[in-house]
Amino acid sequence: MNDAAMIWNLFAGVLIGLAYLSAFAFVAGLTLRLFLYFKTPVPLKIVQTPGPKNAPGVLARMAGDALIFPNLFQADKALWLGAWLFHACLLLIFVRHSRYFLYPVPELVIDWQAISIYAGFLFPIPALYLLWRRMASARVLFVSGLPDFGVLILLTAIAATGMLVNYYARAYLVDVKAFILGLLTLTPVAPPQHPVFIAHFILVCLLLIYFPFSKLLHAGGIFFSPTRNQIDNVLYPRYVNPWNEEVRIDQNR
Amino acid sequence: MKRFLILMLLCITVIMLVAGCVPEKPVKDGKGELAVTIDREFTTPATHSPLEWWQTHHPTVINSGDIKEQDCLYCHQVDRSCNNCHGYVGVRKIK
Ligand code: HEC
Ligand code: HEC
Repeated sequence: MNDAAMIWNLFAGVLIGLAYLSAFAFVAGLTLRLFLYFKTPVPLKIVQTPGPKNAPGVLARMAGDALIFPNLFQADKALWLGAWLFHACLLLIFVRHSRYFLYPVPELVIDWQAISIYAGFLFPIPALYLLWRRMASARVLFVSGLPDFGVLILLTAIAATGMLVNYYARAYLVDVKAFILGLLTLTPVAPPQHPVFIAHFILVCLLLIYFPFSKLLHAGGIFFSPTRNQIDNVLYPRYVNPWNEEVRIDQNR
Repeated sequence: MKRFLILMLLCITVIMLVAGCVPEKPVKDGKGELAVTIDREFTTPATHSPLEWWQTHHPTVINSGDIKEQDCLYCHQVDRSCNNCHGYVGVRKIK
């Protein structure tokens, strides 16, 4: 084996190690953080009116919150549009990517590809808007920290390398998929020797590691908001004081 | 701890079972059910050279209209050297 091949093998090994490390960090971190959310006591009913009166109502409210952000819509129309487009693009991109992870690939994913690919083109617009918004107003800039910018920049960089891999410096999808399926089935093979793909892949690994410990966890945290996930039934049950003295009522009087 | 280990073992068994269903990647004259085969009488046309370029760019060439899909089928049989590979990567099937 010559030097170049040896260095490549070493690098491939490191990359595979990074992939497993990030998968572990993601799964363990996510489980831990969500478990902590789950265990946090919520002793009071603080449901926001008008509250749902039963479990299906809560389900509908949470689904609405997660899918169309009604509260943000009331607060700030421009931000709502930017944020909604941003998340819709992420969802479509995610669905499209499932064909790199699944075998056999579901028919639905194949049919959706034609639409999903536009999400890739659209994505930079809301991403850059969200970035611009953080700097445009002094008030927003004041409450923005490094992570807020960092995450937007990371996601934009992932999207940019992704578009490059698909359009300008095409990677061979067969090798890409063999690499991913190899990782998933615990029989790893070397990644394709394609710098842009490798950059895309490393950035995604960084995102996976960072995700559970960052604000990105709002994706899971949203479902733990007590004001939104409680049933508004405080007044329904009849509470009887357990140490009340028994009162005899004479029925025959 | 014991429960955690059992859970891990279960996960690994499931992954192994799923892994059994994943075939080898489609390669020309390769192994496995997805192997790409083309009848010996056909030689590689000039459009395919270099092959690495063709593998990644035949979609662009076809979508731009320079070559029609039907012209490929003179040498290629759809289920032995188009759709087996397309099924692997999740691209629409050639008819
Ligand atoms: C003249 C016959 C001929 C025609 C026409 C032809 N091919 Fe091929 N094709 C071949 C041969 C032979 C090979 C194997 C090349 C090799 O292994 O070096 C091949 C290989 C390929 C491969 C790579 C397979 C692999 O596993 O690496 C693809 C993809 C492909 N052809 C697509 C097409 C498409 C798309 C068209 C139509 C635009 C087409 N071919 C037209 C003969 C042909
Ligand atoms: C060895 C694998 C392989 C073989 C064999 C193969 N393709 Fe492809 N094909 C691909 C890949 C990979 C893509 C690109 C997927 C992507 O980037 O989205 C693709 C994409 C395409 C597309 C674009 C589809 C779209 O929706 O834009 C067409 C058209 C196409 N192939 C035609 C053919 C034809 C015709 C044959 C048989 C002659 C063939 N291919 C054989 C791997 C293969």
